[in-house]
Amino acid sequence: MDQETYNQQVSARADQVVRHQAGKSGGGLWDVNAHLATGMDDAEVVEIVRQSLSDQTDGWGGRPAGGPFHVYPCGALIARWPDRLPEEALEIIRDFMMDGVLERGNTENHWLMFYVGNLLAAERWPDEQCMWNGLSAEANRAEATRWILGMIDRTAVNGHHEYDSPQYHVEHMVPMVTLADHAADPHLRHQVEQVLSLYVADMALEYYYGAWAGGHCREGYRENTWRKSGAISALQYLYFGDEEFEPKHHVHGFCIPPATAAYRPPALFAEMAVDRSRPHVVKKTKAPRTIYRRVEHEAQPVRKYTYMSPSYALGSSQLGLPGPGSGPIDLISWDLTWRGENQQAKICCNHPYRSPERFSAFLVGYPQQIRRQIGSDKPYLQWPDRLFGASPYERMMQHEGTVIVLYKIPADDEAPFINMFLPRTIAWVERDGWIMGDTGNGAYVALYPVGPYEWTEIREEGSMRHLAANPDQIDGWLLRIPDVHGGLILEAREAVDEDSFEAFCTRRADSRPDLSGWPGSDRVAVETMAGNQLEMYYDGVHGVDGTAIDYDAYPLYEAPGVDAPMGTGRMSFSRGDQEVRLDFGVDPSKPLIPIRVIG
Amino acid sequence: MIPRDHWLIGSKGVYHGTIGGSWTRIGAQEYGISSLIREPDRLVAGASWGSGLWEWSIGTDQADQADQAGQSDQTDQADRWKQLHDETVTEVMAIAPIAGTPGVVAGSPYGIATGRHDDTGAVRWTHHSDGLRVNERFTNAILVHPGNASSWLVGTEGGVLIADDSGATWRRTSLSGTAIRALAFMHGQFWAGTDDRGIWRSEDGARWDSVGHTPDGGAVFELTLAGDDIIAGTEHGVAVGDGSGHWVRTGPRHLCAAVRSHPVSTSTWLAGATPGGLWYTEDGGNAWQHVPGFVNVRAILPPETD
Repeated sequence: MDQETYNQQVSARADQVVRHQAGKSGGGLWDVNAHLATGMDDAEVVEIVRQSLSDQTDGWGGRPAGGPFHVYPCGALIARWPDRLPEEALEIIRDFMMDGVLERGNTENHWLMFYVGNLLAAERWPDEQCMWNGLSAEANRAEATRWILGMIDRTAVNGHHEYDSPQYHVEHMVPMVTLADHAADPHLRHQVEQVLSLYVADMALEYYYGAWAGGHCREGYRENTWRKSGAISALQYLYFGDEEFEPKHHVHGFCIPPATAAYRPPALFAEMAVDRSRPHVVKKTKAPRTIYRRVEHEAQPVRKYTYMSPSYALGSSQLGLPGPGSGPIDLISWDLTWRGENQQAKICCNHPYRSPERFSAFLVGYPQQIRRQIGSDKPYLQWPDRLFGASPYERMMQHEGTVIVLYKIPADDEAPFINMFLPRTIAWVERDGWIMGDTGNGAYVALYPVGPYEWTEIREEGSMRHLAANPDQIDGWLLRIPDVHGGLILEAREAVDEDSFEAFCTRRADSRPDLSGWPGSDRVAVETMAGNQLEMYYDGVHGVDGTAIDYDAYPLYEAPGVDAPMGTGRMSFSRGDQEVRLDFGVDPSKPLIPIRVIG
Repeated sequence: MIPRDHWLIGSKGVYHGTIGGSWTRIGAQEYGISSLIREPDRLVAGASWGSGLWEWSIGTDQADQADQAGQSDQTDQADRWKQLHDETVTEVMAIAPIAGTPGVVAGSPYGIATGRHDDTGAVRWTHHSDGLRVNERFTNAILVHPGNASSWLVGTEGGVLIADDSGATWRRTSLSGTAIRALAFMHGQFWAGTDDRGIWRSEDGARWDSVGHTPDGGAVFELTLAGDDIIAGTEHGVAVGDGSGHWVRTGPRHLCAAVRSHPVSTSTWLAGATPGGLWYTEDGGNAWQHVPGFVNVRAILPPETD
């Protein structure tokens, strides 16, 4: 597909999204972009802006108050609609940016939204000597530019920090889209356009029928059993199409600004996203997790491996965590997904790590009470049935459609067990320790729990929270493995490669994993149905057919048509006669801006 | 106007007031304040959760003067905190005054940093802890050596370290392997409060000796003088000691993050709990009274004396 045709397709979908959102009354600072695009009355626009920025600090001398989710959309409005935004609305925004008490937040997406909004305000009112923080517009512009350019360089060299998040990737993409269209500095615009290509590549390489396959740094809000989680579905639809328009998934307030933007990604990424003609491996390297205390070592880079097969996608991660104390709360290390109904097309497992050190490792509150502090706002982070979040005791390896996941949990751990989620609608077969199922969509799956398991269920009613509404937050089978030395071996296969499901079951059950070295020698081995020998030592070598996997050799990206070595800031993506070459011009002799936020 | 006889409280914003009187927030900011410096012409506040470092100019009482003169633009500029951090200074846990401008060393989870003004008037920061171990970077307390202004004792998650030559070189001390939450110089000696090893004392800041703890144990978040006594903010409330190793816990049980004595009326103390709010005693810790309106208090500065 040529770029012009692709652009037209994106524009058509954008129009669909904007018209849908404009048809709804009210909304907030993000949604008002749709109203401005479709001719809302000025008075209504003013009222939305006024209401959205009505928070004030308490008491005498109160000032307008807001954080990244206000600052960015304010910047986006004044940049995108300079001739359309009513003067009264512009003044409200000006008051907010000049006299407000603004928060920067503490995650990478928070900071990006904050700095983009602050930059655009500084460019809109460049002669201001005293913005909201007592500094001049020039000082604010310079600080924001340094951080944004530094973040881009860091992403190009070390990999994205807040990586591959079905929720928060949107909050990276969308501010960058606004900058690509409106930043005054041509160099900044160029760098932003380049990093946007990386962000879209991240989405495309693991796109699977509206889902984002594999590991994610943050898949919060207990949605990791959902087939489509987070706001990313709206951006996937906008840039990749691939599905019939479904507002529930494809319209999200956070994605209205890009639907009214001029920016269009390179067309080849959409083709990469929807090409499922051949199974292939995607490898990625991502930046180390921010773990700043209660551990003895530095975190190491994250290495992702995702097997994209026509009828399923299986992804896993080497997390590089520095041991007990470190357990990022939203992290999803692995999962298997296929086409299917919500809650019926995912398999995952985890250890619901609950140490007192867990929050202290990356949050600044006193270790003596941060657990209660965070748990008060998000009690589900402490629940024993939790299915997401990292554990320092989890290790895994993967080769194509087979993954081995092992745990060595201390006997005195608060959660001396493993949780595994299985869909309800599959007619599961149990034979010789293997649990096997036909997904009904072209893939068979077999899993072998390491350790005894108890078959129970997990159900939780959905809440009408603002990010999404779902009648069933979680609904499926829960296999609990009450063994501190538990684990899982899982193999997925294309049904077309087997004679029948029965033949698949027979063949898989004929060969048991070799657990003779587990846990005593830390070794588990299994022969895949394709004939590969997988051998995993818990804290040692991971091997395939006798060859050790060299995770340190992972490039920034590896996939068909992708050449992206680590540490260079240069990469290329090609497909047919299309090619995207990126060169961030990073000077290797200069230090990268440090990551000083979580994510 | 911030009267010199007012206490300063670091809570959800910075407040000033008197015991039994009202408490007024300084400016509009509601950041969670971790640390405070009071100087004749300014306040400096460290804020956690990504909110950085801020300065409030009080030397000219410019807001009041501008108000009286009807200079609204000047009021706008004066009646607000000015940002001191940049994009590399994030969650400030501890600050200490040093010479020069901006005249502060800031400690964060990523180590200590010093700044300089650039030509836009903003402060750009240089970090000095990057070569240290993970836990040694995370800074909870900073104390400038009273005899050597370029030597700083730094209380970290990994123990007490000494940053010499304004952070150019580092020394480890004998107090390591535990989180340090408090540092003080009292009675001609250095004192440190730890997470799990009680209270320690040192002649030179390098070699440390244990000086006990209350029977309740727990972390020690603040150490300060009350007359000749030493009072400690601990995980289980305020403790009082005479420096000999004997400590007595007193008052309400809460995580006492900050405690300070009035400089003249040394039986009057303010204690800040996280959570638990603000408490005071006027009889050296026998009876305590809650001050309504605060939830989390992490920093207290006493009134100034002439």
